[in-house]
Amino acid sequence: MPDIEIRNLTKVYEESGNRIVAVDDVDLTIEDDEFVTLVGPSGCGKTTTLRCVAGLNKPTSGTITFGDRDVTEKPVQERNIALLFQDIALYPHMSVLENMAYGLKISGFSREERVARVEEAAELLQITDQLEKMPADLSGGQQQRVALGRSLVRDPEVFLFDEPMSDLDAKLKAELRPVIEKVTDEIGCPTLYVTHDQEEAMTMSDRVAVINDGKLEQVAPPKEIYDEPESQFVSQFIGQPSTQFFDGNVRAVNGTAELAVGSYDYEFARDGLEGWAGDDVRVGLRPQYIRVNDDPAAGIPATHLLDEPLGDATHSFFDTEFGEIVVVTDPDFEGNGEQYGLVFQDEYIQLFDADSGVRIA
Amino acid sequence: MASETGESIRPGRAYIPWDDLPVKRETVAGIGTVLPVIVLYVLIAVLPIAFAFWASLHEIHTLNPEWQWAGLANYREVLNISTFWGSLWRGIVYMVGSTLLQLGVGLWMALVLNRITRGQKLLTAVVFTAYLIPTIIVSLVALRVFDPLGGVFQMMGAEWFGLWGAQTAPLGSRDWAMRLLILIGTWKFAVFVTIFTLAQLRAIPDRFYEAAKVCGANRWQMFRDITLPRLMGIVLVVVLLRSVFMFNKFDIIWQLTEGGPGNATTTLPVLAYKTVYTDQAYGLANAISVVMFLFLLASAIIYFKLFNPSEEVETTT
Amino acid sequence: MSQSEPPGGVFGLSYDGETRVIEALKLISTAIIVLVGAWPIYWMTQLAFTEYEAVEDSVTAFPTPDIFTLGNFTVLTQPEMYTYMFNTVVVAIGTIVTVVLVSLLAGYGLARLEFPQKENFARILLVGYLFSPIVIGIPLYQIWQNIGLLGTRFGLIIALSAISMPFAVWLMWKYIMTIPEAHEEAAWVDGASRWRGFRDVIIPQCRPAIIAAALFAFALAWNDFTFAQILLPQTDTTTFAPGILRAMGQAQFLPDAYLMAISLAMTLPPLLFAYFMQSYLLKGFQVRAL
Repeated sequence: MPDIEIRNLTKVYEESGNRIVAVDDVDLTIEDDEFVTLVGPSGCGKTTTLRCVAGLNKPTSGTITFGDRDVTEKPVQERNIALLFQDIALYPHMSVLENMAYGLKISGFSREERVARVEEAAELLQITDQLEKMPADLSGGQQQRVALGRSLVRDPEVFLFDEPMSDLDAKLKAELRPVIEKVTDEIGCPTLYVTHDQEEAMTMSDRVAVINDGKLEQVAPPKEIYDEPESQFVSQFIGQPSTQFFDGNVRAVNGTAELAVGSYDYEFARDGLEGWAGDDVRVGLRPQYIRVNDDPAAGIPATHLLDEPLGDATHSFFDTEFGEIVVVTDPDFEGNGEQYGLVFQDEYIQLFDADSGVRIA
Repeated sequence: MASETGESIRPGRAYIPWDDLPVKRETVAGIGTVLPVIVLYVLIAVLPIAFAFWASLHEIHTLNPEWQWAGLANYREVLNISTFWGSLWRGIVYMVGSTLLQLGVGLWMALVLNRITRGQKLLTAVVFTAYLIPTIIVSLVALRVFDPLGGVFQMMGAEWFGLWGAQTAPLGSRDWAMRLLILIGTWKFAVFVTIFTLAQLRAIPDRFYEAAKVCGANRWQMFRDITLPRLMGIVLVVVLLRSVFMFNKFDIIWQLTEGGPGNATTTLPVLAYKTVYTDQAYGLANAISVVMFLFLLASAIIYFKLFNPSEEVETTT
Repeated sequence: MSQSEPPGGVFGLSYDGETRVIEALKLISTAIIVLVGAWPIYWMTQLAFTEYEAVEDSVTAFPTPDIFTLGNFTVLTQPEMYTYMFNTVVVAIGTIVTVVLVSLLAGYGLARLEFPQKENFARILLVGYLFSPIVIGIPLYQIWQNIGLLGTRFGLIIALSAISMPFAVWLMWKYIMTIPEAHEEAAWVDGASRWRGFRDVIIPQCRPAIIAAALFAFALAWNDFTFAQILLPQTDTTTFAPGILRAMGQAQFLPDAYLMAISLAMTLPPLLFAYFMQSYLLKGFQVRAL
């Protein structure tokens, strides 16, 4: 089994004189057997990237290789890929069995072999009793299983997913995620999974690739993406509720760094801040690492706005000089609209360049 | 798996160097798909009309295709013969009468069909039958029921209402031929209006009417303020199409009256046909065709002002 | 509806009263439409089963046993009537096949492929609604004569197919656009060529549109008089509509009851189609492509 190598992939659309750069010089390697998720907001170019890999769109420049095979100019039919579509795209006029066997039929397998392979896949996906049904008679989750089965029976070289679960409800998504992982493990080929849902990205991937505005921001394992985001965008996009940001200024760096956030000064040990003394920075902190102190003078002064109790924790909203800030508080916390001070847990502070958004420390 | 789909395996089609050609493969394929339609149109529209124009400049006997250059003489003759102006006038009467009647009846049927709850299937079948039944059969039935010998409508008209004499054939009477042509045509063609407008009526979401009801609107107000504005566009198109079709109507007139009695129901299409086969003046007939074509052309231009195809495409899905 | 408001309905009726009036009008309208719509068919049918002398002499509303007969249908066995009907069937089938094939292909191209002047093609397509058989038929008579298509069923099929195009192509185009592109892309991913995807995925899903287009083409061909009258001038090779009209003028013995019998036979196919294919027809017409 080969890997997928995407080199300098660029896709430009020309529409009535407008040049729209959908994908901008993307480099990405997906190892054999690896599950990589391409995640980003809508319109960021993630689906275009996937369609270029699939061969449904033609890249403007750059190359795509599967192992040692350059497929950039190859039509989709010759790439031996599997692709799960956003709207599932089961053939409505064929039964589940025919749907799953269609690829094999094209490849010229005998009827017996087709049925045998489909039954094997159906067993793995627990849809053996659905084979005679028509797609319209299946639930959303079952349709997804059939679509997975359609890919599974063909034993593809490369497995692609184009937001396959975006139309499903949260419970069904959670139920299907292990199924998808099981199938991709079974096939054991490089997998590229496109989604706008950071939760899907975090739970299923070996590595997560965050894309924004056609450019790759960071490629790393989920934990690393979460803990060590390389840019303000990644920090903000990954994690729920998302990272809170404050304007700060690095006052001085001598062994420890002195950071001013509004009227509040912090002093903390952090490497890599040499040379930033006197510069403005963006200070990012995950909401669970902000503490609420009853004394407004103990931290950043904040007026309590409202609480969203979730049971195991509460999301509390505060009005500060930096705008609205969300903090994860105790399940029993009730703010009652009073004044508080927001205190940072120093070791989790992330600092970003105020202009470029690149991580500093 | 990888080896199966290696570089060496290519489908066994002839290699066409699309990248080196000035046209894209998709363009060629796309034009290829519509080529049969273009061929049909050229064969059935462009060629005949060009031919008609060329022939109209000649003196031609129908059965003896020997062409003699006549210049614009045929057109001069067309505009001078009294039957032309008479036929044009009768054609306009027939067109306006038919279109108005069909529009009224068709709209009424569409409104009923749209709101009916029971028996819709039967009613739709009846309505579509009128659409699918051949004109000749409508004509045969009409000829039978208006026949002075045992025709039920002839009898009813004569004995119950005193519209005509007991021995009169209404379709052969100067007073009644045109009116009956319009009525009989309406039975068959009003459905056309219904089909067009019904689709539009069904496309009006119920929530508009529900909102109007909440505001206290009555049925008439709802019809005036919601239904009618929505229908206006399609009604204009239908009126135009029906006018053109009725102006060009030949079959039902020829079958029922052959343009008679005298010239009482001779419209331009009937005149053109008679010129070919009765007068054997093929060149002259083509001149009439060209005049009718110009009428069509003017209609086509109006048609596009009303009915923008690209807009239609966008509202498809 | 039941609040105590001042009456706000039409003519000062209460809303409930208004609803009752509308319901009544609807019922009356339905009755009139069904009666007027079905009456000629009933009349034709009953006359077809009535002895021809009775039809000529008096007005009869029902073939009572003393005048009932099946004898009128012997007209169907007359060789020239048989020829007319056979020709009509051949022309109808030929037109249906041509229209479905050509419109499927063009509809697919318009829906899925990019090519220059597509919008203008759509405009020109609609001009086809304005093709008038009489305007086109007169010049076509000579053209067909020159290229040997005059008097052939093929020549008539071409003419009828052309005037079916605006409806059929427009319908296919719009219908194919409602099929998600992902269906086809899934087929390509499965290894199907463009043609194979079209055949296996698009065509089966177009069934309602194909049936609607076929029915429309059928209605047009079955209904045609003008083109056949001009393009099939030989009495013994023409189709039903012009054939029967000429037979009426020439035949020694062709009573109206016979005409009703043969009319009934020619009405049955469209009647059956209208009833059994109704849902397809409506689906087709609802794409608003007429």
